[in-house]
Amino acid sequence: MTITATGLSDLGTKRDSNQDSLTWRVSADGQRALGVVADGMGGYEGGEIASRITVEALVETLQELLENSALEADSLRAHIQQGIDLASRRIDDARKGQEKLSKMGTTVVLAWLQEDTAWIAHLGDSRAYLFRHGELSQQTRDDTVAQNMVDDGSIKPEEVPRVPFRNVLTRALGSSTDSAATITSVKLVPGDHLILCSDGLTDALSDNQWPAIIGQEKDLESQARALIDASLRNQAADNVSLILLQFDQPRSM
Amino acid sequence: MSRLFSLRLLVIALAAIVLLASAELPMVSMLDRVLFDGVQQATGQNVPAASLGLSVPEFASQIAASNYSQPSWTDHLLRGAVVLCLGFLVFLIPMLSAAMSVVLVLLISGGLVLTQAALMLYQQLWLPLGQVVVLLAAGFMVMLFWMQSFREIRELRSNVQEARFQLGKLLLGQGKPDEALDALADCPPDDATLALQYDIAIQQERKRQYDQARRTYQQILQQKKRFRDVKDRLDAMDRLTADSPSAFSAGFDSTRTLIMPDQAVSKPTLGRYEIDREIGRGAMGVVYLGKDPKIARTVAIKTLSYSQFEQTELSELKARFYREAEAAGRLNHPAIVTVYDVGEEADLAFIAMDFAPGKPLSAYGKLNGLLPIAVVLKVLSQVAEALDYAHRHKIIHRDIKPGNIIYDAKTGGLKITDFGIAKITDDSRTRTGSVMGSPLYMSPEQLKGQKVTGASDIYSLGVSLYKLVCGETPYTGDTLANLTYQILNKRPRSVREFNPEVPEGVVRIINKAIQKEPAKRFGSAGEMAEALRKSLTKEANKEATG
Repeated sequence: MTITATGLSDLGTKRDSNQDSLTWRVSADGQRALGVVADGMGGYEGGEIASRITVEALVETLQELLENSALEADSLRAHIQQGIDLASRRIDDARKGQEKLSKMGTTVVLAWLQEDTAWIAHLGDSRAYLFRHGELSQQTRDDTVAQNMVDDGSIKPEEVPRVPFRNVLTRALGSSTDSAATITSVKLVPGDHLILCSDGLTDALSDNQWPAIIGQEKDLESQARALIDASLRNQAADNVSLILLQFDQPRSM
Repeated sequence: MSRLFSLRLLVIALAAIVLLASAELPMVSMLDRVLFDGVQQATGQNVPAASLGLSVPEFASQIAASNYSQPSWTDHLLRGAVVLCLGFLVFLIPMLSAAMSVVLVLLISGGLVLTQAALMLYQQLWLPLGQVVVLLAAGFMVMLFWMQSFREIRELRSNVQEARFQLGKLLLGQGKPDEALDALADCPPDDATLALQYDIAIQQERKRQYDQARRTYQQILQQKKRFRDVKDRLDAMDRLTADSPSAFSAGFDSTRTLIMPDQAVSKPTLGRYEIDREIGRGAMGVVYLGKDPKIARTVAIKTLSYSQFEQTELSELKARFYREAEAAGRLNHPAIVTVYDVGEEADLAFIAMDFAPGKPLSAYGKLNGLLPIAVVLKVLSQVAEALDYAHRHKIIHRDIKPGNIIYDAKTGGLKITDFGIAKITDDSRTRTGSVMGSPLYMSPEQLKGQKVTGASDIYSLGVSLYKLVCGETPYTGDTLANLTYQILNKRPRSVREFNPEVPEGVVRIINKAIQKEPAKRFGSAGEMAEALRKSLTKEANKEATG
């Protein structure tokens, strides 16, 4: 198995600053990969800082493991949570004595690929999708008040955009004491794509349009570019960021 | 300008010709010849031939042959006269009016001709001043052309300066000191301009644009060392900045308050309102007590601080802010706070409204500090009536809660504040729950983002009644998500749980008002007011009989 990865981020059409941070790494042998998207919030300065701290802390914690052999499931979960806890502590430290950073926080979605499995961790409303055989399935459940309302049947999914508290997260890094990420795993088959994105993409471009857009492009970079461009054509209000990870048969066996 | 320049050059060229080339040009000495012939004839001397037809050297020899003597300093005198004449034409004439210059030219020419004749007659001297007169006349003709355009331009310029001065005044009047200052840039720094600059600086000071005010004051000082109290004001501002460097640059936002400068610096203003002090803080910004100096009216000024939003979101946000304020401004009811004015400053938008004395009802929301139930019923029945009035004008409050009802315990008067303004914060992109205020008083349909109607205000008034009779709300939750879930899905806690003494009638009113289904609530706020009044009468009777 080999993994290829790419990522893109754009200001969107309404913002002056990009509060999203993202990074992706593939091990030298192409056997393991890490992708992280964080969407900061709480004042544009704070948002930028919180998301950057988070991506850096996760890379710091996980990068070395990328070049080792595959990890056991439990050990992997522990390492991911460790990275998130580190990010949470650093956000708290950065906030000390800084009035204008008092409300900063960030979402995070992370994917770790090894062998035939993807591990997905998230806090907040940044999402992970699996794209397989032309079909898209969401792998994360948004930590939002609106999602709760959908889940308990109070509103229909299509009513979410009208809810007054639609932007309120139930969990996020830095703004709640509980930084336990939801960590799930999914088995991969060759040809699978994993998509990590900030809500800028999902808000501007409904996910049911993605398969057609991805299907039109051959390589990973063009697919990422096509998704961003489509969201910008829809006047994406927020920053738009995404990471594409492709899981493939090695070319030479 | 180039044409004007060349016309003046032409005059200078004329002078040069008179000085250097008069020998070759009979024209130049024409006047001299006429005079010569004239005087010769007048004195009865024999005239060999009229000198007019002679060439220059012939004329010169004729003079030499005559009995007039030519002093040795003639050439110097002539040259000096030509230069003086040139100076007069080129520099003096532009400063004179047309009539004045004509008179002067005539006088000088006449004087010169008379002098020349008199010298010939009485001193037997030949002094050819005629060439100077020719130069004067020819040069003046040229200058007349030049002056016409020059005057037009000068007039235009002074017109423009006057217009800019008036524009500056106007802009200042509209509260745009920076633009006013720009308009004044080309005006000559006379007293009127300085006085206007001074007024501009004061307004900048009041708008807390201290950096700009300082620059304006310094500009004034550059023109005039002492102008009114400019020096003192500059010093006072220096003290101000030294005291609070951070508040200075940041202006004010929802968390920071407007700094109150000392006496030497003008009181801050928002629009035409003088700010007195801070009286509260809302989700959007600080609320100030202010005064309209024109009619000495006290106003409350709610501010929407821009600093918490991104530049690109602002235009839409402002539009909504004004739209909502305008809607609220249409309401005219004794129990609804009157909106007088909306306005904008560099860093915030504001709404000036009636200042309602008293305290918000939220001050009476604790179990051991509740108002007597009869008072609660009376006050809320008046609120319901006011809501009924607003609903009939198609305006929904959207954020009825005890904190938005100001009650004056001394007079029993009350005012509902923040009509329609609640909607403005709905779209806030902040994602931490606490910031946007609590939905404790929000109806289920509002939470779900469905259509908000008068029934939503009735629900919120029902929760307010609940709060004011027992100190609790029907639902609580430690997080926004939890609270939302309770409001949408759970049965409310009974009000009797917290205060067993709440009368049966009031319990029924509450339960009807806070039905999850809007259709099951009171049909109108008027109906609810009626129910509250009936309940009040019952209570009063109970008091009387009990």
